[in-house]
Amino acid sequence: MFLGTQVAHAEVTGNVEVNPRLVRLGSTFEVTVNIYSDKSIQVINIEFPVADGISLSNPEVRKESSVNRAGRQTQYEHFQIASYTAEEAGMVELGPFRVNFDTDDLSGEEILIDPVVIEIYDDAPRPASNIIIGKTVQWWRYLIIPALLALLAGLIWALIAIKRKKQAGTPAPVLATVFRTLEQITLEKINGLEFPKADDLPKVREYYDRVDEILREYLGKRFEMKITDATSYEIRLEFHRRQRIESRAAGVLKLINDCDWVKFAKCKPTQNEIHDVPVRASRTLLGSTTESI
Amino acid sequence: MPDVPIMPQPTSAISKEIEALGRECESHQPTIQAIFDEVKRILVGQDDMLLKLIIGLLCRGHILLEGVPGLAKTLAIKSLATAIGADFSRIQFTPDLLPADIVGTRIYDPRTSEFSIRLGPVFANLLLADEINRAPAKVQSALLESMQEKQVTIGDESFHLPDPFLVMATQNPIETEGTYPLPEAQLDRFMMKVKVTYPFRKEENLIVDRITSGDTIELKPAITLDKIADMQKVVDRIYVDENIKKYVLDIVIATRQPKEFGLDIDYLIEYGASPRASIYLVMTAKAFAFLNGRGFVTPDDVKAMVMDVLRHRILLTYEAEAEEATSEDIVEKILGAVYVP
Repeated sequence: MFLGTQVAHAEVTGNVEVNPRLVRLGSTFEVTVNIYSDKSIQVINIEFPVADGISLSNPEVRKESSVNRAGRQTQYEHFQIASYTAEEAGMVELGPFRVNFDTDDLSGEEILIDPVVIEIYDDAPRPASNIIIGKTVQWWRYLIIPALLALLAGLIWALIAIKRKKQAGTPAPVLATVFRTLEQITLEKINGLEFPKADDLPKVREYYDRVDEILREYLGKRFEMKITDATSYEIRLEFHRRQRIESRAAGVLKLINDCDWVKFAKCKPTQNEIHDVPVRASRTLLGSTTESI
Repeated sequence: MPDVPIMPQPTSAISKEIEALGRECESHQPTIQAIFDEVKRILVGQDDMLLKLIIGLLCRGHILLEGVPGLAKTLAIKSLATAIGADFSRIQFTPDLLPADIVGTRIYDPRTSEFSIRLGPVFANLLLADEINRAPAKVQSALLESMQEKQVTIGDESFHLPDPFLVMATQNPIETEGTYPLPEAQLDRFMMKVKVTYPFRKEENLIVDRITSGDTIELKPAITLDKIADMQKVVDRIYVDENIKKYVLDIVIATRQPKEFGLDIDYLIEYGASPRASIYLVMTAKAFAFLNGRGFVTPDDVKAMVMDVLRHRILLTYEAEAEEATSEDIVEKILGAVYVP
């Protein structure tokens, strides 16, 4: 912010200070113009400019006597202060400042000092009508969100209820497969086996092997027992431990025992006995017998 | 045991052959009972050990008894020998024992200037090899050879061992320092390895009463050795169905190839059981069926004997030892995986 000039035997410079630089709207601020010279000069006039938004509130500038500051390059210092009033908010450029002076040798000399930018801010409060102070919130407003949630839940419930009602109203679709009990399935498997001839011992053994397998599988599933690694005796023991032997289990165990005799003890059933196996199985699985182990 | 018969009578007629065998088995039950009764006069508890000893006798198989000291192992064998009227001898195996101390040796007679043969204690019907793992390998082999060959050669002469000849060896699972554990190949010659456990409290109370009363019980032969031979012949004829043989083979093969049976225990087994296991398992199952008065074997008979026949025939890996898995654990797993006929 210097603009200096070499005048004859004197070097003259100057600057402008604004205090405060950030100015509140309506307040007064001071602008100081400092002039520095290496020789004694006579400051004739400092022209304080005017700009939009600010006004020179004190046209009578205070002139301070020059100060000799020995030991520095600038030996002589002049300054003058003027007061301004900020009238509009915004950025305001003030200047340039024109300074006229005389030296010992010359008269009517002039220097220009760069303009300064002043920011004027407006911190005036907003109109009271725009501010809600201590406004009471109505109690029913607290109920809005719960009420909305309740409404949503009710809506969902209603939709589900309607859907169920519709389903209940429509007749159940006819299933492609007919539901059968485990007993029926077991019996079907036994009935599906081909009867061997009584004198064909390998076939008879095979038949009894299969019957035994089917019945063990049935026991395992119906009574939740691990059957594959259990002997018939162990299965009987397990039922004995459970102390509640259904007639069905007792009948099945008797059939399994007969199978064991064929499998392990060369027992040769007659043709009638072979044909009787599905009948006994049916009686045991579907009917109620009073057989005991 | 609850009163549940192993195999109740079937609804159809029983095979005549099996029925006849069953009757024969039944006819020998009083003999078996007599042996039991006589031995039980002095032996309290340990019914399972006694049963296995009798099974060994019926199958002509040698038995290794393993149990801590003081469980009446020696008493049981000695009493059994007396009850069946058999010659009995006992060898206490020690580290300084020599093969000649077992089989016998040639002795020079200065009067006749000839060598005479003195037969060793191995010449008995029932030989108790007490603490067999305390003698060095050469002594163990001398005994085990005679067990296998049923004869002994001294000098240039061979001598047949008496019939029946049964070795019942004992070994102590604790105090293993200074012992010579039997190699697997020699263990395999024992038909069964029976683990002897502590008696029940009630039984031990009775033992204390009997021993401290000061009464001495003298056992007498309840039967003769001929009866044993007769029973052995009946046991030989017990019917074993193909289904049972398949079951036995499945179990034994599962010790060698467990993966075939869906078991992931390969890494625990170094070597599985040898074919001797299959042979002995069938033999012992037959004897067990005989003792139950049946002329045929069921899977229950196999299951009853499987642990004693297999436990010393499965060689475990280091991994098994690290996991503290025993051969019994392996057998249990196999029994759970093999389909019972």
